Amino acid sequence: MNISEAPLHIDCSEELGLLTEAATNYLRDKSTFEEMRKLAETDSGYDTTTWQELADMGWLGLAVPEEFGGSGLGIPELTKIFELMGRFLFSSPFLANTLATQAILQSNSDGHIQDWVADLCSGSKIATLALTEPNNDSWEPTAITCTATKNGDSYTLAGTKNFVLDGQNADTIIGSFMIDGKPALIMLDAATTSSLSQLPEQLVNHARRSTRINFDGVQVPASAILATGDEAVKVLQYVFSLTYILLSADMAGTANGGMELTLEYARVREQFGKHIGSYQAVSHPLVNAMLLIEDSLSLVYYAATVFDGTWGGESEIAGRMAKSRSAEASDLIGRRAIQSHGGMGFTWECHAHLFLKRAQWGQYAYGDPTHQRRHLAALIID
Amino acid sequence: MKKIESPELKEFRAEVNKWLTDNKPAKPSFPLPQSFTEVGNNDQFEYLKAWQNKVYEAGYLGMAWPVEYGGRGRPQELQDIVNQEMLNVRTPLMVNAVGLSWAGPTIMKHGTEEQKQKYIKPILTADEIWCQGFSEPGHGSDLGNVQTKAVRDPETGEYVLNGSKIWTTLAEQAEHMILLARTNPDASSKYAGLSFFLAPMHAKGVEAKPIYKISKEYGFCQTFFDDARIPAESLMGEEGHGWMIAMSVLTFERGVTGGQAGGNLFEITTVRDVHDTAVDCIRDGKPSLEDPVLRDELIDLYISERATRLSKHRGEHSALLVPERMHGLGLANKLVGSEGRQVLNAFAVKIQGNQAQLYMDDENAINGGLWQHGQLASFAGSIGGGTSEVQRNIIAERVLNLPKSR
Ligand SMILES: Cc1cc2nc3c(=O)[nH]c(=O)nc-3n(C[C@H](O)[C@H](O)[C@H](O)COP(=O)(O)OP(=O)(O)OC[C@H]3O[C@@H](n4cnc5c(N)ncnc54)[C@H](O)[C@@H]3O)c2cc1C
Repeated sequence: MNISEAPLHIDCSEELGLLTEAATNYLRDKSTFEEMRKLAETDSGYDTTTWQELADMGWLGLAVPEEFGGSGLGIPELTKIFELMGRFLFSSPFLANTLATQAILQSNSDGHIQDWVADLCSGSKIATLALTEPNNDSWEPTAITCTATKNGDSYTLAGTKNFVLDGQNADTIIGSFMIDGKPALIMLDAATTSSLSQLPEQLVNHARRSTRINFDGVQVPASAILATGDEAVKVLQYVFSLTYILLSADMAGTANGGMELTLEYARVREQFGKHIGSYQAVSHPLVNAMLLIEDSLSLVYYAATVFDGTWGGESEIAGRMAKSRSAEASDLIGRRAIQSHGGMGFTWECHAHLFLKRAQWGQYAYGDPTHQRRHLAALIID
Repeated sequence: MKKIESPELKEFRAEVNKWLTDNKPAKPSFPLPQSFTEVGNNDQFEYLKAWQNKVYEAGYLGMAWPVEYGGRGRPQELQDIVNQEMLNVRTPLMVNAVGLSWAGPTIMKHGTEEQKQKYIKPILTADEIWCQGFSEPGHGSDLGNVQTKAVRDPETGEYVLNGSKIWTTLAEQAEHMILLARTNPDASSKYAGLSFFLAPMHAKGVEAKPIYKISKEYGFCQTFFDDARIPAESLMGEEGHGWMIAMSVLTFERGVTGGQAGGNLFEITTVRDVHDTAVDCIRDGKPSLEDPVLRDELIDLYISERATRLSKHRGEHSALLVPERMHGLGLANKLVGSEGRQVLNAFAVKIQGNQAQLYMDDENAINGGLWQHGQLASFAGSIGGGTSEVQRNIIAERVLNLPKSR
């Protein structure tokens, strides 16, 4: 059995403590149910003024080194922001933009870093990733069938990507394509991005935005290539492992939000002359959900602590463990939230479904628990 | 704030590891209990008692308790290291569990100077074993309702006990009992009539009768009090304060509060142990570890095991706790630990396929049938010390702030 014997630990910086307080206050204030419901009805799904505030607070480049225009903090701090965004159901292109920014940084492509990263941190541009495909419905980073074929000085793209987060809001898209049978990351410039025909997807979490994009015939210059071969694989693995952590944090936070909503109701709603929260059939499943949430948070911050973006070791294992448990936690509390509200819980007006929907989206994006455990089994048992 | 062990602590850890490895007693000819609630015969008892005594004499028990009572007056983090290394080296468990982990800390917190002088050192040396007289035949979960009577004799000041306690672990071996009894049947509430005693087990009129457990081994007793007279000094705190002290005992017992003398009370079984059994197991003609469903379950158990251990580390950082329930992790310790052991044991049986039907004394039983035994024994954790249902009630009320279920 391949189990790390290194002593377990979880890091927490002083900055993280300060950030937690500030971010909680900000998001509680900004991300009200009313506001998020309003945004969910818009095309873009986010508020540009708020987005600029995130930039001004340094969140858009939170884990970007200061020399590139970021705040120079680490993955644990970034993880905290995701947890709190989940807690308050905050919607924006934050995940898309953060992952794309990290992909550019990891590619070590100086030109692209110079051209884009500062703008992505300042909020003046938005980037996203196009990685998964309807063609194979795979959750693994290198299962790529889209191609880029050399054609004189440029490359011709072919194939379709789906779940391109905030594709409709993005100024640039970074996609994974095969060049001569090897993975490559290609970054489209603003003009090419805006000329793409994107099909908005209808997601179970209707507050999220994503698109399906057919790249057939799109021409890009050789300079669009961010990374190829092993380099590209490394960047992809880095991005996927980071996504596991950030989505897990989002789900753990979402679960906490759903928990609070449900507890508030269970404390005041009365039936048969008693508060429903005094019935064990109501309260004990909430205790079970709480235990799963506590597990999730411990796994999430452990994963953030040991994160190095590489595949095959404790960093990958920790990220997948977090993703597996957090998905279960947020799914359970999402369901209990609806059930515990009775008839009210079945209405659009009741907020309970918002938590289950966000949980469902997070669960099925980038690999559900069964998928994660199958990969963990290969890493740990064999 | 990366937590890195200082060179001094690292050195201490190595020293402890070496001492434990060198001094770990040879495996006896009889099977050892996996938990202190399973000490079922005298051979086991004497073997474990000698080991606890040796650990104490070496200075590795009660390390953070004051020197004047027999402790070593050293920092708690050293005892924590010893506890961890005991699990790593897999040394036998500490037999005076009730003394070390709940009676002892309770005496340290609520006892008089005299009581500390008298009781603490023999707890550490294992010369005086303790048991706990809380549950009664009629009242277990509803502990506040216990009916064993303690009536003060106005002439001698002694208390006269009548009634019975049950499921008393180690009662036969014990010198003393922490006892919850009713001194005032007419008090304003059921709780207000209770008092707490440090009662001698060898008084006339006290009798412990062993009861077979689920495994047909001994381990707990029914304790009868028939006009048993115990001295006035047995009373701890004041009359009517029994419930408050009993609750304090439970926080030690359930690991909600620190202050225990140290040492392991269980043999720890891990997912790795289950895996090591699983590699030799066949289910339905194929290696169990190739079955995708079992693989999935094993990994889920591994995730739980890691999460539980990691929660202790997350608990050190308030910014990583959920603000609405800062104390939730501590109150959940007992529930998480006992249910974790239960599912792990059940899984270790399941992977054995057809062989899972065999039990301990069958020579063909996988791993000597220990997992089958462990599966049964694991109910000690989900019933003893307050059932899992009661633990969920407590968490619902105190952590989730839900209205009482009663
Ligand atoms: C191995 C072992 C060792 C023990 N050692 C000791 C010891 O040393 N000293 C000692 O004093 N006691 C000891 N106990 C006793 C233990 O504390 C009690 O068995 C336990 O508290 C349950 O009480 P009970 O047996 O009366 O069950 P009951 O209280 O009758 O419970 C029966 C069932 O009803 C459920 N139930 C009861 N009340 C509620 C409620 N409010 N909500 C939901 N469900 C409820 C319980 O969870 C359980 O499933 C030991 C028990 C075991 C198994």
